[in-house]
Amino acid sequence: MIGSNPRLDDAFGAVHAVLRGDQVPQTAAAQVGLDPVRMAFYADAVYSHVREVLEKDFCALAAVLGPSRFEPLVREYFEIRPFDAYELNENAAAFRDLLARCASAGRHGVTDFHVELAEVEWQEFTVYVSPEVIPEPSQVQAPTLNPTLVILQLDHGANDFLDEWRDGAQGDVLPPIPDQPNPTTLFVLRHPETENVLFVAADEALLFALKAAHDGLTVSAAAEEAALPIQTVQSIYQSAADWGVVVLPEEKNP
Amino acid sequence: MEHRAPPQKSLRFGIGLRREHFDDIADRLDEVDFLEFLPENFLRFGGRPSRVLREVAARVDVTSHGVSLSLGGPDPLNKTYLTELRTLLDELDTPWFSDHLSYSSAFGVEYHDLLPLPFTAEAVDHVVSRIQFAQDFIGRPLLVENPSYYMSYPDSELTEAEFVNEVVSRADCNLLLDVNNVYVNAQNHGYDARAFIAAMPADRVLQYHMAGHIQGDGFLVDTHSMPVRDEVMDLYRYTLETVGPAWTLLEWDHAIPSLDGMIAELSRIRETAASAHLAPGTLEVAA
Repeated sequence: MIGSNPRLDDAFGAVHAVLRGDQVPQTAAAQVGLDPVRMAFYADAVYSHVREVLEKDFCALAAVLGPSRFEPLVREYFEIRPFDAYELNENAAAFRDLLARCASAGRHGVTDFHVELAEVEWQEFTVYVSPEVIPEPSQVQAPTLNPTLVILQLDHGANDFLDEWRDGAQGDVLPPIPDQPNPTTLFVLRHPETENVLFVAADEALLFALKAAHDGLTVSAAAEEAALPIQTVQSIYQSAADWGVVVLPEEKNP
Repeated sequence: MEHRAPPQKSLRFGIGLRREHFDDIADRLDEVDFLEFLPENFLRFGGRPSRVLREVAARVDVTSHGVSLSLGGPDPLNKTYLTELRTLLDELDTPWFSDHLSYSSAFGVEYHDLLPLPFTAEAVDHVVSRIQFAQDFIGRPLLVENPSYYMSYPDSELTEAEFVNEVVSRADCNLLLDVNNVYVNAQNHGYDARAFIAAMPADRVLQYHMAGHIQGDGFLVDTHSMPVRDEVMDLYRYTLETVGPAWTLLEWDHAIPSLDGMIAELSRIRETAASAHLAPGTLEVAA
């Protein structure tokens, strides 16, 4: 199709070179007779879309790193990972890979904490838009895992940091970055009733509910397998349901 | 190929379905005649976006306004996107779908911005075949929107109005006339906005867009971040009197106000429309 449109082809090529930063506007504009200032305006707009989606999807990370460290990451991501998805956020998925490489190489001041923070923020987005349909209580026969649930293994306390930052209304004053290792199993999920995305650090009870629901165990079956009183398992399942980790049947009979 | 027939031209008023209003919109549907959604923000999303879209679509008309079809682009049309779009539009039974007379991707890269085409016979040939393909693939009327643009090609053989007319006529598609874009383009490129409006193919205009713009560095910028300016309201009144009634949408994509603010701004548009002197027999206001 391009071959039959040589002048269009020239225009597409010249504009693309500027938008990708491969050519300065003055050079490309001269080739096709466009105003270099206006070409630069478009190039700025296209680059801004990259920055804006990264700032939106990784807003805590952007706040922690600050513009002086975040902007070089945006620029590098723009250069190495041209956007190729029509859904804007999808293009941000590989930003975590860049962060991990930077942390390994000690570049741009990125640390393992930043990588972990980005992972939590990204999973919050994926859970928010997850196409998984959470069943209604009337649709399940046994305690059932929330299908939007994502399980993360954290080491650097990114969840605690996010909690504190958000409790402070995400202001300019950042909570301290945890300086001690804090291994945590984090559940990220979309709550079945509120549809809000939340995360919760898994304790023994939640891990028990996760395994039992994964295995499709009713309250009585789980109680029998774990040699626990039925009331205890009921309480564990109910707590997990309150968090949204599992969906309980309408009739919660043992 | 047969497409779903578009509804009769009528004067109706709507706003965009935006995430910022997900909590409230279902309670305010009696204050809008229709909603418009950006398919890119819903196609692959489950959860609340999916639920809200389907909930409102069951109660009011919804229209789809895409930004990534890249009708004028050099790459083959994205069949994955078109297939996903067709599935959603079939489910929601939208009266039409729209996108822009521009391009938004090239050489495998999505710009997420709208780039202008040169107004040449070659570009007409190029884009007409792609519009026809998209319209046939989706099986619904395609409305192409006149985009705002900030650079123009010196080798353009046609005026912008001629270009739009040629494309719409040859592709046998419909037009989404963005009144704010006409105003912005006329100011930036030095032509008469009213003459442009008068030159539009009135029988093919099924929808209008209204939006706000700002004064940039030496030119106007279509930002969708402001109330509609009075000059654009005046041009809208002239458009209604010249082109006739059509579904009218308030576009607001940045610094989005509360739903109260959106409804209030939509009321300004309704009042402007009410003050227009429409030709007898052209006004069919939605119940």
